[in-house]
Amino acid sequence: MTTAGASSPLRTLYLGELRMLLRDRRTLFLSVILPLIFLPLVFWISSMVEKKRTERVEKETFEYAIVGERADLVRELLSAAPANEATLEASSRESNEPQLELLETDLDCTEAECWKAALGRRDLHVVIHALRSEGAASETTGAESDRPLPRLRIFYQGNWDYSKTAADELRDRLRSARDTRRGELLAEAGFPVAPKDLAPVIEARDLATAAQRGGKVLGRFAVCVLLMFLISGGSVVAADTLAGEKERGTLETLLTSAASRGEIVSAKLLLIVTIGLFIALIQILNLGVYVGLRLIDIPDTMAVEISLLSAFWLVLLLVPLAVIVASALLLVSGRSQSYKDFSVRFFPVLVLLVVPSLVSVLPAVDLRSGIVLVPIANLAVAVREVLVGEIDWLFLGLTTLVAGGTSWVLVRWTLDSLDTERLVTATDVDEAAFLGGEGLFRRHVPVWFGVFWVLIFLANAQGELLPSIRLQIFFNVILVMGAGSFLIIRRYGLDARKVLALRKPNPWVWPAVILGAPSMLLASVGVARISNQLFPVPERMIEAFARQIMPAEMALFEMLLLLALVPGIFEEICFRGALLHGLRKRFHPVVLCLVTGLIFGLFHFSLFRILPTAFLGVVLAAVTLLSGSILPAMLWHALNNATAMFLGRAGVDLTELDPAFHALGAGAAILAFGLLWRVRMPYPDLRSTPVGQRGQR
Amino acid sequence: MSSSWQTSLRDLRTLYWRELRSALRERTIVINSVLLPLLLYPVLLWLIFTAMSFVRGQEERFVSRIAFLDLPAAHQELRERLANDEDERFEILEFSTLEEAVAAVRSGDVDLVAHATKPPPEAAALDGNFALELVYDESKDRSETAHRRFERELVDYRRDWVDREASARGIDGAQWDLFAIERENVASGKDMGAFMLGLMVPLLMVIMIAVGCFYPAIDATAGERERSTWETLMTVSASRSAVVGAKYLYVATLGATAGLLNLGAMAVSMGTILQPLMSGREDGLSFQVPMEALPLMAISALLLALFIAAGMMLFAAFARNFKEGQSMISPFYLLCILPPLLVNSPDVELTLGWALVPIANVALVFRSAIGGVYPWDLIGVVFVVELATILALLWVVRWVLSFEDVQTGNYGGDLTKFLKDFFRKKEA
Amino acid sequence: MSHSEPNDLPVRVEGLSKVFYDEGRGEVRAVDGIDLACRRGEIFGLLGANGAGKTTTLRMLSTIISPTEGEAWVEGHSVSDEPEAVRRSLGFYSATTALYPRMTARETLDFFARINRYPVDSVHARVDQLIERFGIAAFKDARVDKLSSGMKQRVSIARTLAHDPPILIFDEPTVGLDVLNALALVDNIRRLRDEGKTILFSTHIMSEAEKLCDRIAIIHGGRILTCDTLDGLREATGEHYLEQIFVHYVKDAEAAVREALEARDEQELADMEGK
Repeated sequence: MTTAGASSPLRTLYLGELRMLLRDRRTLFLSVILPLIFLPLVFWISSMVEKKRTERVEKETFEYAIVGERADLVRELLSAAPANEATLEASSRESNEPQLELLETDLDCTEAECWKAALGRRDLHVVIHALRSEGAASETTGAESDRPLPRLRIFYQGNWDYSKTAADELRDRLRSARDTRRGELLAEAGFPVAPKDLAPVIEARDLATAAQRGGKVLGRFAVCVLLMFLISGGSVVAADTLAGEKERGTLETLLTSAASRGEIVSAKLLLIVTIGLFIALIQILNLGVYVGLRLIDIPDTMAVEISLLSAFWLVLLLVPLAVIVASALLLVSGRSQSYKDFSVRFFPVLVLLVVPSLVSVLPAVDLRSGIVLVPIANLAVAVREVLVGEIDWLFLGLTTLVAGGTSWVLVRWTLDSLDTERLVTATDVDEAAFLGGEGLFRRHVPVWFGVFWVLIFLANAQGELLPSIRLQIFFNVILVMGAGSFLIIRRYGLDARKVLALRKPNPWVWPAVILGAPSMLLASVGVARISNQLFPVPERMIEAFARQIMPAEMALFEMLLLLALVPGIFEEICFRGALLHGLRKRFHPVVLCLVTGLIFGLFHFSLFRILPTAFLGVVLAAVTLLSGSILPAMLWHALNNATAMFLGRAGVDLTELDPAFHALGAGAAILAFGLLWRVRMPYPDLRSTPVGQRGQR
Repeated sequence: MSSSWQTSLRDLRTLYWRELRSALRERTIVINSVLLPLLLYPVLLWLIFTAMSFVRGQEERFVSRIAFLDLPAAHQELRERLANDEDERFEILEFSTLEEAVAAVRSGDVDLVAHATKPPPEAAALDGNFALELVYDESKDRSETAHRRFERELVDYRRDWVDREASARGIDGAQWDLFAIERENVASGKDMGAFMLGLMVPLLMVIMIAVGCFYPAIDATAGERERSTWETLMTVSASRSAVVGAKYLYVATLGATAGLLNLGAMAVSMGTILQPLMSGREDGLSFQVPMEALPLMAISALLLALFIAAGMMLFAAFARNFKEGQSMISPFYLLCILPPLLVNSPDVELTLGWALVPIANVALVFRSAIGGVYPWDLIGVVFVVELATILALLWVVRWVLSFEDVQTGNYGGDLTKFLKDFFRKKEA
Repeated sequence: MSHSEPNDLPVRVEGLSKVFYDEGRGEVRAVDGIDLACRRGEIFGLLGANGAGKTTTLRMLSTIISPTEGEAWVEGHSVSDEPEAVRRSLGFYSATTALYPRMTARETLDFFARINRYPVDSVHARVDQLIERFGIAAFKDARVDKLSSGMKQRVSIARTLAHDPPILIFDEPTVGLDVLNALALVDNIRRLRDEGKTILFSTHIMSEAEKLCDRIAIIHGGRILTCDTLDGLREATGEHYLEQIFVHYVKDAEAAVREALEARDEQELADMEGK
């Protein structure tokens, strides 16, 4: 909508911002110079520390003593020259590993206590105790040997680095001496070839080129490192741009100019992208210089070739990455009132951006899985594949789409934050904090649930703390979720009936619940099967979990009580009670269901349970919102668990049903929801209109 | 005289508590000094768990597809061995020609081709021996896994073969087995836990203490200017040194608190991170910081916090607002992280040389205290060195604050300008 | 896209309301159904106490925030449908519209002329003209953060005029200025009116309104209590000084508000004791 003769506001804005940025020496210093010096310094120090350590290990003389009746055997074996070629595993030793200098010393000890004490005093590194023992298991066959077998015990001090190094070395030498000896024995008996020449691998043909191998190594970290550069460069600019403008009061000046908010945001976004990319480029060049100067070592085999096609895809993947980073940072900036505010929010965003990119470090993650839908993680995996030279047009395209969509959503949110008047025109008075009660409760609910989550997680992660399922349920469900919810309700002086939505629902709701719970279970197992396709779960984990959750020795009524009734009541009080009530004004009802459901899922920690439980959580939240009462959700939850339990006891494996059953379940569930909708009695006091109205600005 | 001492002590206390109280009402500070160290590890832990189960799930689905070509009839056992694998990790595919099989590796339909050929001369003396030519593609995770698995199986196959040959020639028992070997770790699970904690804790302690000091240091100086409470404070009847002293102690308190909270959270969380990873290897691993080490660690943390707080306040004193404060302090913050990186190697221990290096020495005291080792003479040296550097820094802070322009924030976070001004005045 | 017919009403406001949602208080009607009309070439004063709704009204007019109900037209452009056109035809000045510290005075004027879509060819001439007129020449190439507050204020007014808008909005412009600077500013505003600009001016300072405004609207509790020339108001109330006129109108409303406030405080105290 540029008027003829007028300059493009976007260009003016961009150039204006750029000029101001370049004049801000402090920002430039923080975002360019400092990382430029610091990062290589860290690399250099770590590689130097590592080098020094190798040097020290090479210089060190490792002392060992041999005690016991068969000391002679050990001495004899160790005196034979270390013969690497004798081992059956050709690749067990790296040829470039330093040879340790080992020295035998005298130790006047006959008792284990004595040499243990000597090791504890660090008088020497290792003690080998050679016993003339009987009936020791043969190492190679695993079978009990019929004749007495000398037993060698290598004692070392595990919390002393050198002691462990020496122990490893001695064991390897003894083993290789044994292999040599065996070879000799066989040769004497007329066996024509050395053991290592049995079925030798004469050629290991790796079809991957050096460039592909290099690309694989580089691809593991490429996106993560790039992200760090983009963020370190972009964050300083982003902080200065919206949050900083609010702090300085220039944002209002800008908003009353004829530039549209879209133009303002685009110009700022463009600035962050430019600066981020520029700094990333400088950093890469900088690292290149250090590598060139040999200050940082990289493996000589690193060779990366990038074909034109790969380069095309790399650019196509990296541009959305830069835009995602820039728009996430700009969003944080837009939501912050000041520079300081920005710093508080920055750290979680940093973690949120960087952690998914680490997925490419994990082996075995394939782009053709659920990962393609996870922003940033998909870019990391995609870049790795492109660097290896694997171009899968369909999934790379999908990745680009997902990444593009993500950045679009983030930009949209940033635009909204400029329209959210609360954020643009700050009021200093914090009335919620002053009045307490409801308003403050709503604000603090997420923090409380964070605390609940950490409590439950820590208590359960420490295996010995909650040894039995009974204790676990008591602690997790009754104590933290149930009593914890009541505690916060009391803390803010709220009416428990209102918070928990303890109302009598329409009587027609009950049949809907009784129909809905079991049929939705069927449907949700279908969802779980799909989720298992996306995020496959180790079979062993599921089995272990089933054993743990359904202890065979538990009586039926106890199982009903602990696994159906108690969760039905207390988990509902917690999630569809306190959480739903606390979040109801923050989100649109549909989003509200999704968010409470997801939080409910996250409370089940393990990856393969998150999606199914989140699904159940969404359903339960919807039931509560439609019936205006928590009681139907309680019944639904208890019925759901009880049905699953009965089926489990009866030996019905839902995951092996014909898919038609899942479809049938889904149909019945839809019917149940139809009924709920007909007789709905909506949850009171929900958020009606979005707070930040979207205008055409 | 004593009464004036008491007054300033009382002032100091009043001011100190005010700082602390308002700090605990400030979101930035609470998050960085208290919540971050407490919550960081559980969340990281959960992420690691999740990633591990994801990878394990993916890997289990990796059935390695192996194609054998020309395997001698006498050695079909190798094929059987893989086909009957307990965990069903292998799938045997059939191809008629090598070219086809190699093409399948290239296209990703087969993970590894094992082509049996004539053995090389040194191996040919044995009838029925053969050699293998393996074809795989390291650029594919699946193929890499298959290669790893296959090599391991091959070694076992060779071992069995050698054993068989030996026993056929009457070589067996002790003559063949020679010895049984085992390694025994003299260190207890507790010692090992302490050792591993000692590798990680010092660096993180230093980082957390620095993070804990960061915002309070800005808040107490530049923040006061930004809120224009600085002048209010400078006009109170309490002495300047009481005002600055109270701020300094408060910054150090928060830094030390962050460090110790971090230690606690790590001790609780580490067990859960490392135990499952170590299961089967080291039994009875327990990650506990020995109780008797706590006083020493607390004192060291406080010393470190006092040092970092002094440094940060020195730089923040030049700033007029939060932003300037942040950019003034950041370089110092990064500088603080470097010394502990220098000693971040398992075989570095507290020696006289290291005891003289600020920050690195405290990191090493942390490590030896966690390991239950107390070289008191060296620890004494460390304390003296730290106290000396703290006093030196405090002297510089005092000197810098004696400039009116610094007090009124005229330099606006511009250190070079300050130094230029200073030297110009000196010349004149 | 509806254009207001009488072209002599550059600013027209009908039933404009703004409802804020506040976590503690619930719904707050900061502006409650306001009607206004400014005539071309006049200084229209919005007179009200702090929190009366002046700033909210002016912010809606300048499209920083959007109205909950009602509509306003600036030069015939609707604030809800054509916010950009609205902003192009007005200049907004308030104590909170700061300048970019790292731009020079000259660059500031150039920047704002351009993003307000002043014809590119004439930007230079316009900037020179403004520098000349507001006596900025001496420091035109100094960065804004180095300027004194009086200089900044001159640059700020010039910035408001950068694209030569027909309508100017001054939201409590003299807040935080010393006497001399405030006088200079008031003088400037009057000169702008004499040049034919339409000016909306909000203040809580009676003497300023008395001296400057052609017509005055008294706003209180989000509503306009009255709107007339100073003489008209004097006639209607029988009071001479604006202060007394203001008190006359506000008295009743004020009493009601005070009662409500006291009732709320008591309730809160009771709540607190109850805990």
